[in-house]
Amino acid sequence: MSNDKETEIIDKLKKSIFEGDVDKAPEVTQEALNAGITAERLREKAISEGIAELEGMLYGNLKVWGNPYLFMGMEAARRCLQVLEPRLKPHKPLGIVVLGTPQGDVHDIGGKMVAIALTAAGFEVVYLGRDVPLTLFIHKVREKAASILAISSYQTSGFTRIEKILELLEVANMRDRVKVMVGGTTVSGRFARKYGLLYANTASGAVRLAKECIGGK
Amino acid sequence: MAEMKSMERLAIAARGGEPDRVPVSLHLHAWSYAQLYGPNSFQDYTLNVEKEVNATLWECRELGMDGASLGGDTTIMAEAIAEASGMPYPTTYWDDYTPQHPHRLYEGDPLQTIAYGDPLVKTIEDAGKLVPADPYKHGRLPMRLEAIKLANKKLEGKHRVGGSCESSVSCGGILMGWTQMFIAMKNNLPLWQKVEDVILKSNYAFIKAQVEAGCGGLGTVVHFPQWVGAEAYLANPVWMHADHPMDLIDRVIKEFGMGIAIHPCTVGPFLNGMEAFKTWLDHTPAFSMSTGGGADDLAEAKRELAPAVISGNLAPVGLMVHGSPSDVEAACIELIQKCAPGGRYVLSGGCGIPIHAPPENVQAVIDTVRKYGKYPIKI
Repeated sequence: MSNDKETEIIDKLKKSIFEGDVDKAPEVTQEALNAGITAERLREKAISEGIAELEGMLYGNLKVWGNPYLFMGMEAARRCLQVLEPRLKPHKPLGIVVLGTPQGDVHDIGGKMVAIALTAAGFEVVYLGRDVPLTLFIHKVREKAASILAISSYQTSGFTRIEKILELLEVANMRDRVKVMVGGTTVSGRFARKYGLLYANTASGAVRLAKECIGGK
Repeated sequence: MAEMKSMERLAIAARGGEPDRVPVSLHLHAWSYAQLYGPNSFQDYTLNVEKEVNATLWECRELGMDGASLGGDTTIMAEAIAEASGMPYPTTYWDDYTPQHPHRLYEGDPLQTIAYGDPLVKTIEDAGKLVPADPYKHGRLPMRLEAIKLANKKLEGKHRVGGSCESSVSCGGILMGWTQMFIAMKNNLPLWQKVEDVILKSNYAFIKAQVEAGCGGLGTVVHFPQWVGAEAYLANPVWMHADHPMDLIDRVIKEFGMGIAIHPCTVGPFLNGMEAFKTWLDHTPAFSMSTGGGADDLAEAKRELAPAVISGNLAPVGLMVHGSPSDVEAACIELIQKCAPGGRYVLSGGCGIPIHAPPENVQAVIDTVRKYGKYPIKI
């Protein structure tokens, strides 16, 4: 397939993500696979980069938080990944990320978006869901030998639970073995700096940080 | 100038005058409750009318707030509609929300499930089962009304007691799941319109009941938080109606002769949405807006949206929780300098003040407004 043709199909897939077209995006993904573009390339060039571009557009012109296009675009990306999943060759993930929203907080939209973006970027995401008991974060990091612990927090009291998780990591003697990344409206860059944490306010920002953590580009 | 009573101060400021000092009304509802009843009091927050009213009295009388809001939280209307429709939402009563509840459990691979779990309304058949909530019967709405009534009685009209009402998009997001709701708005409009119709009828009944309970003062009856935010909803008339149901607003204004307070619950800059906010001026010059953003944004909003009253915008988390009292003082001084001259300004948070905000930070707001907020502003 010519480069132009591949670019055309990838752009078409990205466009369906930008438009939040949850029906068309998986169809275009299948079309792209049928045309001979590999699942790996589609995941990286269309979906992962598409998510980053979508967030970039919304952040610049409208805003990311609460934007319908972000909700629908991420859902479109998720449906594309579902189509790609069986076609991906077994691979070593870029890194293993344990991700969840701590106990007392039932907000999970942002965390799921980050999980989708990290998966699209080639990470293995161990998603714990919302309202997760604090000790489960520690157990899962140990069990999966995760290199990154990502905590999503929306409830305004959530930062106290993040502090508790950090304490538990210290108690378990694991604080130096895992990078801790936080995001969500509860936390800020300032909070993250205070505790030596990584902070991202978008899903693609989380991907950039995660890649830096594992020494990638 | 002699010290004024809160209502007088607010009334003069609302009309574009300069009272004795800048009015201050932080959104302290949950914070005050936590101060009086402990940080883990969330279990009974909004379920105990007497305690809630005590918290409101405390923030007005002891802390010195000029007004308070007794509206409720983001799930209150969704719960009430769900209960009216015979399909209670799991958090209808927080004490039912035990660790054993299935909604607390592990949710599985995020790639296999649509965002936001398993909502109550997925199909048009589900939507057909929805019934508008009766504010005197369903969910926690009757408790809200009782609290407004009691607080008004005890405050004897000396402080403003506001109510609240969630926008359709906020309520719909809970009933349908946010992602599913936006997909329905785009691909299955009849489904969304059925849900929206029930929400609007429920909201109208709740607003009417709040007015009957004595909510208001200064022509401001209810907050309409906008969850899609100040900018995004401009792109689509369906979202815009869900976020700003102007027909409902017009009806409230005509029937009750009151203005509306709106709260664009936005993170970051909101000025892109200024043109849309100006449409409010066509409906009610008596609206007020509390929002986030920076002091310069708020000052511009005040200029552009005259004669509306603007309040805000101390950052609830970055400043009020994680900042120091001197950070808070500096932020208040900047807001007073840029927004207070000429009135039409109430010093407030960009959103609700989290329960873990240190008391000294809240005190710093009050101290700063008393020290630097005296009219005419001379800082």
